[in-house]
Amino acid sequence: MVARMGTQGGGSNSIGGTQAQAQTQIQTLDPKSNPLARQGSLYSLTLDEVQNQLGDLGKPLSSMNLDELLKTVWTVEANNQATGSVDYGPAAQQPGQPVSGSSLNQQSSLMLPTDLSKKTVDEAGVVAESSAGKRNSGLGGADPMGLPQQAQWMNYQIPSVHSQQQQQHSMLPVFMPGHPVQQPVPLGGNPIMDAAYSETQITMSSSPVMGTLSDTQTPGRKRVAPDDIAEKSVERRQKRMIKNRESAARSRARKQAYTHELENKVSRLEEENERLKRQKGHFRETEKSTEFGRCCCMLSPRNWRRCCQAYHHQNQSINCDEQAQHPYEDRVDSLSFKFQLAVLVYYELRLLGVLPSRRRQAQGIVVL
Amino acid sequence: MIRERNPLVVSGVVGDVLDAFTSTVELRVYSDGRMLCNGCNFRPSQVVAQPRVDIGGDDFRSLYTLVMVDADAPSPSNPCLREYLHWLVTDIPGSTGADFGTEIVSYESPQPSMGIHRLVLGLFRQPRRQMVNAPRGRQNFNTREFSRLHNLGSPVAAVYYNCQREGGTGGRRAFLRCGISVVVVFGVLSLCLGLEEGKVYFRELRRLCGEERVLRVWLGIWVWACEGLLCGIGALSG
Repeated sequence: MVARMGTQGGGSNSIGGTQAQAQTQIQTLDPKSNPLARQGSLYSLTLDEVQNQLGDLGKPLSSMNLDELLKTVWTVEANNQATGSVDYGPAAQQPGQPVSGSSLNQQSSLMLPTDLSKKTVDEAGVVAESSAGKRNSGLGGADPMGLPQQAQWMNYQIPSVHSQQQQQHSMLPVFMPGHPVQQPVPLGGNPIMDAAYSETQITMSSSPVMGTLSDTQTPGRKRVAPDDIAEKSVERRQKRMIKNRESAARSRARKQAYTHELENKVSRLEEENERLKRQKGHFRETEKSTEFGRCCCMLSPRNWRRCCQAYHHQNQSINCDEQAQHPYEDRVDSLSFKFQLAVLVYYELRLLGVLPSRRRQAQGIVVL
Repeated sequence: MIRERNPLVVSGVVGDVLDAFTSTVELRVYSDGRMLCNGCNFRPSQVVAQPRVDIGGDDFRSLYTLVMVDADAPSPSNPCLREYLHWLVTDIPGSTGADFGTEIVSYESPQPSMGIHRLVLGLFRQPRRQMVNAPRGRQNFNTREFSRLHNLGSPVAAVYYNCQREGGTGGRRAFLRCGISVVVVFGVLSLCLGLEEGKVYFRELRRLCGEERVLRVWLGIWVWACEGLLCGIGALSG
């Protein structure tokens, strides 16, 4: 957090130089710049004051700096919906002061063209940070409402306790007291969102921290207490929503990954099952066909029948998939089958009188 | 857009921890008797002990390095300690297990306190037997850097699983309950012993609880206090 404050301090210093220009410009353009001169800092301006001052400001926008752009667009918008480039990227901060002028709210038009935002991106050379660019691109197409620009200007002074990407989500019309807080989904730059909010920040300790930090950074700023609290609670709600969205996305990804894994596993197991079945069947078939073919012609009817039965018995067991077999079982079966065949063959040969026996040898019969 | 079906990519493991790779070696991990598959859930009680790791391949001469990291430390919404190293084993011969390798960083069982963490096991092939220095600390380990430093190249296998706290991930309501229980306990102690004594006892109690289990302990106390209260009310009324 300290580092962030430091960088923001550096950033604000670079803007501070332009502030002086802005102030002088305001003073030259409008004689009623007393509040500015008195307070001496752009930060301490309220929207109303500046608006009063810049009511009739022209439009040399490209030559203006950041603050001027914001102010001019703001006033231009307030007057009539003339286009002006708005650079709401880097300056976007949490809602600051309430919009006292309801006219502003009315005029915050939904008709702000998107090319306006693009123009802004080009002209955002003053504070051209990569994060700003990302935010702009994220917001360019997704911001139909002019209200966030109000918020940006308002929130300009807010200290950057929160990362800059946070500002997208806090640029909602939160400071309209009577209006329900709308949380437009288009501001879903979640991947860009810096998930630097630990859960502890959401607890009660966060608000006093924010309060003190804003004090240190903007000492001369006028603040209205109830609106501050309201805005902080809205902030907190937004943060919570962002976190919830992220965790929902994570949980979806998790579920999807698990489903894919299961699908892959199922297909792998099915393939293996098929392969094993084929292997087993093939194994049996090759064994039996060779043996069977050789022996069948020599067997007597009774032995033939026995042989057939044995073969069928073996064959049937292949089709019984439900039985879990020991890996060596089929080999054992085939061995027993071979043995059975051998036994049958032996008996056949004995019947035929082909095998040598003692009696025959004794009788002197030679067996070929 | 091609629908990505690799669970490692969909879950973000490839991207956050590892670079894209093609799996060339089989990696089987067994924990608590169950085989690990991508995205399966394990409770911390099931992964207390070192898992059994079997590496495929067919060559004793090729050596592998196994890295186990937590990609979501301390919590998935705030992974500031990203890649907390749980286990590092080198010089594992092919077709054997992690027991045959050199354990550089001993196994630490995952104890996620917030959120659902992804625990990733990555396998790299070593170009040769090499002496690996133990990293300075387990936190903020960078697997990519480690692989680059030791010329391990891209991983040859990876698997990941999800792990969360035993009693669920808590969340904001848990914090609230925790806070209330803290206040209640402190109040009770102060009442019984007086404020100073109460503070002392309270501090002792907090120190005893320790960092990781503090949430669970306080929640337990909260439940116990509620039960006691209910019993008391019941006794008083009935």
